[in-house]
Formats: sequence, structure tokens, C-alpha cells
Amino acid sequence: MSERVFSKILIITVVICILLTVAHVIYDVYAYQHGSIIYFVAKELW
Amino acid sequence: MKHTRFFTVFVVILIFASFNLGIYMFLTQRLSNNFSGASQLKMVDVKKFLPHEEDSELARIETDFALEGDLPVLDGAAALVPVYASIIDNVYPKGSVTYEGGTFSDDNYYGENFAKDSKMQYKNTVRGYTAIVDGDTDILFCASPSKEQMLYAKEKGVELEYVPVGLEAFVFFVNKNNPVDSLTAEQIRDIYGGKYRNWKDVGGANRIINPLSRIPGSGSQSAMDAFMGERETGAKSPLAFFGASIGFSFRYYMDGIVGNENVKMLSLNGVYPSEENIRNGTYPIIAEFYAIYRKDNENENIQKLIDWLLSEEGQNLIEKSGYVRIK
Repeated sequence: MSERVFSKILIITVVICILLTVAHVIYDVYAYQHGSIIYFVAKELW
Repeated sequence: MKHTRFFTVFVVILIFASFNLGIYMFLTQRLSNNFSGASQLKMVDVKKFLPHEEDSELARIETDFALEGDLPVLDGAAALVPVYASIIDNVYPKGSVTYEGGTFSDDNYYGENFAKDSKMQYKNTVRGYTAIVDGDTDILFCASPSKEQMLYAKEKGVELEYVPVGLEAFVFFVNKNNPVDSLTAEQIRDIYGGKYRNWKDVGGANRIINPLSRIPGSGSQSAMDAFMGERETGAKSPLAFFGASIGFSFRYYMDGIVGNENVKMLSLNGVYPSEENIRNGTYPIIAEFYAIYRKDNENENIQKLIDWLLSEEGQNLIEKSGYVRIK
């Protein structure tokens, strides 16, 4: 595997991971604004 | 060399996966049951409270009072569905409610559908206030209106009559594992005002406080605005998402309708929001709930129904529905 191919694979991996993380965060913000606060409190980690 | 490169990619994926797992544990898994087609919460399962159905969870009393003729259309807040559905069940003729069921959609926020000619409707507080002002509903069962809702009626030139028919406690709640059991009213105002941002400031664990709020115009948010008075709501910690929450609601909605055993209601100024403490007035935040109608509504059955609701029989029904009588 050349240096160039490795760099491409690494960049693509990072970009995919960032996009998935951003989608996850957007989902959470949206769900947080519309969800049940009672359920939200009930599932809190202690 | 090749192994090192594969290891590097693996580590990158592992870092992101760990980060997302952390978000999932703290946040996502706590939100996962709340989606619908229109991203709205189904706040109350109306199917459990359908009038004239044998297996409905409605209060039933012995009464000779019965409405006939032009039957008022009843609507109300999610928390008061058991009350106005019980009224219909006890004094309306069979066949006056047509439930069509339904699924969540952009036009059907709550996933509930009643036929247009049904005498029971369910629009909840925000849309219910619009419906009563616009004349689509005859009597609305709700807590006090928000300023915006009063303004909407004023702009439309509509005068509303608010008749208190029952009492309810406005309560604050936390996770059952939160060691705090009681707060003073001033401490809660300070929490929502932004003065206290950690539970240890009010005698609890060393965790960030996440003060939760509701959508503007909802009954509980309007009650919270009234509770805060002139006090402005402060900004919460940017890390509040990961903190320990405090929320607010009405007692029977929490305890009787939702009934989640993993949350607990807080005592306020040392007084627990029990039915007894609401009735004897020792719990500090008692809210009246109202039967609301347009003053220019000429349906004679409205006054008859309200008079009955304030009678011994009507107040018994309020009590059997899980709320506290006003008389």
C-alpha cells in the first residue's frame, strides 16, 4: 500500500466517522427538543 | 509497516466509536422512544380513556343528570383527558364520540383522531386554546393560559370565561436515584434562574444540574412561567446535557397517567405533593384547572354542564378522575 493510498483511506475513514457523528448529534438535538422530559429523566444514568 | 497503517485506521474508528457510544449512553438512549412521524410525543394514550367503552380507565359515578340536545364539544389538555372523557362517559348519550384512531403524521401531531362531529376531541393545550377561540370547541379543560394565548383571544375579539373546576399540584421531579428529595421554592427559582448549576449547591451530589423546560404555550410551561414570576430564566451549563435533570409537570399527569417509577416528585418547602397536602392547602403550588368557554357561546348545555360539574356529583367525578375537588 502506497503512502498516497493510505492517506486516502485514512481521510475517507475520518470523513465518514465525522459525518456519522454529526448525524448522531443532530438526531439527539432534534429528539431532545421533542421528547418526553419524564422519560428523559427516568433514563438518566446514576 | 502495513500493520501499523491498519492499526492507525482502526484506532481512528475506535476513537469515534467510543465518542458516539458515550453520547448514546448519556443521551440517545434516553430519547429513543419519543419519535413519531411528526416527531411529536404521544403524550397520553387516548384509547385508554374512550367514553362508553367497557374497558376504559374512566371514573364512573351514579347520577341522574344527562345532557341531550345540542351537546357541547369537549377538548382539553393531555393531563385532563381522564376528566373530560369521564364527563362525557357519565352524562352524554352513547354514540356522541367517534374515535377513528390514527397514526402519527404531520397533520396529526398526537396520533389521535376523532371524527369532526365527535363531541370529544383531543388537541392538547396549545392547539386547544386556538380551537376554543376559533369556535371549534365549546368547552376546553386546561390550566391557565399563556400570555400569547390570552393575546390571541384578544386579537380575535373573543372573551373567554374561565371557571375553576378542580385543583392540581404543580410539581418538580428528578430521577429516583437523585439523593435530593426536597427543595425550597427559592432554590428552584435559583436553579432555573442560573444561580445554581450544580446539585451540590443545593445539598445533592456533585453533578451539573440540567433544568428542563417544555414547549412554549403548554400548560406546564405556562405554570412554570407563573412560578418564576419576574425572575428571568438563566442560561444553563453547556454541559447540562450530561448532568442530572430536574423537570416540572402536574402531579396527576406524572403520577396517574404516565406513572414512571424511575422518577420521583420533590417535596417543596418540605411538603410532599400528596392529594392530602393539596386538599389541605399545605403544598405551596396549587394550580386551578378550568372549564373554559366563549362568553358569546349560546349553547345552553354549557352552563348546565358547568353547574353540574360544580355540584357534589360533579366534584365527586373530578375526585374519582384522580384530581382534587375545588369545593
